[in-house]
Amino acid sequence: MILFIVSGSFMLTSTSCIKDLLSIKEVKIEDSFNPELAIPLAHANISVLDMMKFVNQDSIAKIDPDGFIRFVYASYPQRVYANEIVNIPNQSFNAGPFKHNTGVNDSIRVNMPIYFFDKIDNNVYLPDGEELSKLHFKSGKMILKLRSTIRRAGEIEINITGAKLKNGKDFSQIIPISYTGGTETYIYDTFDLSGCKFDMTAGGTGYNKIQISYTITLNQNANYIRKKDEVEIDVFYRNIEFSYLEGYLGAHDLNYAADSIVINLLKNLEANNMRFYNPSLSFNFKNSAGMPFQISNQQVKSYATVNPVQLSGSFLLTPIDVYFPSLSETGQTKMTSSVANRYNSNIRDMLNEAPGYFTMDMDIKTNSAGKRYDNFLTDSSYFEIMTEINMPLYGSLKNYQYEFYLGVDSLDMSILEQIQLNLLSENGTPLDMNLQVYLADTARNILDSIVESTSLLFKSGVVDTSGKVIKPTKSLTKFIVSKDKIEKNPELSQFIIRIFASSADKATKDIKVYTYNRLDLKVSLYVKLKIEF
Amino acid sequence: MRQIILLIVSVLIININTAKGQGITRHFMTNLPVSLHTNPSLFPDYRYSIGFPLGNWFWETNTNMSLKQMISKIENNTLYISPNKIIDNLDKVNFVNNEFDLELLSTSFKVKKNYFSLFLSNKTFFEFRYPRDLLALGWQGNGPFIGGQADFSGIGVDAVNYNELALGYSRLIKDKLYIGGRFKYLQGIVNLKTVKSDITISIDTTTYWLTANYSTMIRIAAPIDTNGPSFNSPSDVLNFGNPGMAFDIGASYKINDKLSASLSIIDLGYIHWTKNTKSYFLENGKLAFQGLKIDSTFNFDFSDSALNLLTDTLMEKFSFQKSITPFSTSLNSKLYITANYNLTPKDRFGLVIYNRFDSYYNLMNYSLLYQRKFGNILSLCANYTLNSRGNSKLGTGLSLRILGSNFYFITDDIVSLINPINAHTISFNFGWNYIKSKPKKSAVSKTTF
Repeated sequence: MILFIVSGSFMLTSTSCIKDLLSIKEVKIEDSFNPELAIPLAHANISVLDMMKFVNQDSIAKIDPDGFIRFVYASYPQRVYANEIVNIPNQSFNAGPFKHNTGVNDSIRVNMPIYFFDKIDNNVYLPDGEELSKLHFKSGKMILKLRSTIRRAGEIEINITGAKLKNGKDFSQIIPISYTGGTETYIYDTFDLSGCKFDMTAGGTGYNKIQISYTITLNQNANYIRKKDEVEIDVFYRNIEFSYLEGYLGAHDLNYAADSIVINLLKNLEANNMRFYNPSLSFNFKNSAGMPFQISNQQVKSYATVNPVQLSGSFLLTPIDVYFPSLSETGQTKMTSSVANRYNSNIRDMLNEAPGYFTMDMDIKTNSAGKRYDNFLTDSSYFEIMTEINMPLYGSLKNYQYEFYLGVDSLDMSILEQIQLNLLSENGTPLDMNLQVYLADTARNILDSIVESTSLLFKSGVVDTSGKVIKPTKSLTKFIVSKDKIEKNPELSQFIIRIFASSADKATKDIKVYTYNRLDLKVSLYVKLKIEF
Repeated sequence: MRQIILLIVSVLIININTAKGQGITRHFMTNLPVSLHTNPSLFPDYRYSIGFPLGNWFWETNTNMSLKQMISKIENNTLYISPNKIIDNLDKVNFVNNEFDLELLSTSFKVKKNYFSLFLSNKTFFEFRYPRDLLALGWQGNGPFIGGQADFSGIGVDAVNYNELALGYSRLIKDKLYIGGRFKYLQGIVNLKTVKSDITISIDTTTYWLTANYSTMIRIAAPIDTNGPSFNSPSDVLNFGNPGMAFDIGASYKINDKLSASLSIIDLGYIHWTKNTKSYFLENGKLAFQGLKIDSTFNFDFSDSALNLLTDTLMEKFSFQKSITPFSTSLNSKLYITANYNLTPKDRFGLVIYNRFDSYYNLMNYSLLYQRKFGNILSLCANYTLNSRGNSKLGTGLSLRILGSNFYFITDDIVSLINPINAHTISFNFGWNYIKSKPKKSAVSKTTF
């Protein structure tokens, strides 16, 4: 009986349930979709150098052997080559006229060959008073032009004292003189001087001399020699390029184009917010020209405002004599560096003003101390000057700022319930870092801020008395953006993320930065969404 | 009499429209030869029986998650579903399984204090397992797992079909103790088994770094591959290349005329698969995602090539290794512990504790049963089962002796078709045996059952 009642009840219930199931026309999700997402966003182990890359300043970093970092801003190097210092213009010389003595007769028959000979010192013209003892040709031409009214054929032999051909033999050339009838004979010949080496001392008696001898032989024939008959010679040196010069190479004033150096690093800083312990400005020279250069009247100005600050101090009292290679050091390049630092100039004060740029000018002279004959130049000799501003990362930093933007206008912010950003850090740098995230509209007008805490985001590592980090500091910071904050700012279209950095202990002590000072950072994101169906 | 007829009709309707689970009712109806399937030490009522070919079959579908636990409400022709409620109701590992046994031939007979049986059956088992954390991750995100791990272990599919030839023998010893066993020869036909699926994703408390650890192994013995089925002829599956063997053992002890107890363990065995075997596995894999690595270039590359690189890395990490060596799979063993109390010669109460052993979940069932006999024709059984997951069900069984045959209709969850929304089990067990005479009372128990 009991079973019967139970079974009957079940049958009735069954009918009701099945009827309900069969009547279903629509299926709905009762709950809102409310997922919580925990996302590991990024992780980084970055050095100060990496941070500099982030703000596009990494190219200025130099690393010392112990890992110490310095920032170096340098001007473009200005270089002067040898052919811009000494230039040998085209030269022209002549010899003759050579005549045969006919005595009292207007013409005579000479039944033998006729000979003429002459030895001449040609003085080479150089516009800046150079006095050459050696001239080696990289290229150039010697052109011989001979005019003869003597109706004979023959030859002319040319010899230059102390000159060598490319093959090392003495410079000697024989040019035939062809007579084919007529009243005048012209000979025009060109010699390639490439590789030739001329001694310009005329056998040790002077400078800038080309001692040349002409020997003319005219063969016997039946023609009379007239009183008016003569032989004239012109010699031209054209397009002379030297491969080597030696002697006194002149006192030249070299042109230095006034230059400038932009200091991007300091652009966003106020004066005295970044203080360097011992920055320096250096003039660096490279010289492979065998002659003295002297630098004077250096004009260095820094511009933090419209009123520049001029470099001053004992650094400027003495001209800079640039090292140069001796004759036995031909082919070498000598380096000279002249440094203005906190002890001999006001460069530290100039930099602490956070200048945007520097300008430089100076005078450059050669052989300013007088003549000396051990000067030399090769065709590859050069003189180069470069200015560097050297900022070793030893000092203090206050309120350095950098900001970037994160657009969110394409996101449906209405589904966000909560956003939480976690930053887990282990700071081994001597920099305190903080962060502020602003809510901004499309025009980047700040609507609100997220970070309310004034505590440091990444506290610097522990710094010892020498300014070195001896222990990293760990910290965990959470930023929470609630739905309320998002709803209160419906014009939100982007986040402005602003990073602040200061050196340890509120920039009250000087710190040193090394490549091994690193920030280990793990960024994670917690997002809670709510989507209604 | 009218009441009895109504009751019979009612129970018949109920049984036709309902289902049962895990064979507990069948196990308790010891008068039926089919009860030997779960306790080989039993002496069924009939002197001998011959199963009508294809006339005995058993079908059972189980899930730990009823429709009601998934549905929030039905209102105004609208079905409301609450994913949060579903997730709350899920167990660590959840399942839907289906078992279908078809008896091709069967017979049993008694000789004095010995009872012999022979069954030839085809058996199919399919199970799909899904972890709660997988659904929770999809709906709730990984936030709830911060500081812990999402555990997907146990996810997978098992499917097996095999023929079973079982030879059983039981004996009465000193009128108190029945012991019995069955030897089974198994002919494997097809198999898909997720042998191992240990997959976890842990989430760090602060960094949210994700670390996945995984070891998986899937074994297949079937004319199928990653390119699809390659079935050419029946001999691809109907062969003796996948032999196996198994044992059932059981013992029953009659403490006194009213009280008895029994213990049985069935399906202790394995199948050795050699035909069309493939094993796909990933051993001790580990994959960590720590977000984008910001290097010294500060270059965030979200281009296609970067995503392709990530995809390639994942593909490489999840590239399964393959082996075609033969393998063995064990059957899912089951344990039955039973106590009987004969209140009257016609009324019997019982308690059955049942467990099915599985690698990834444990399912213990506790059943209270009552059986009443109406003369020599009709026997009815009802039971209430509570499992270790807190789900309960009401089962019924009917045994009818008529026209020289025994018919039985059994379900382990009568509610399943009456109120399918609440059902965890849908089962149906039907049988038709030709029987011969009433057993001699002197040879077996004095009790009616």
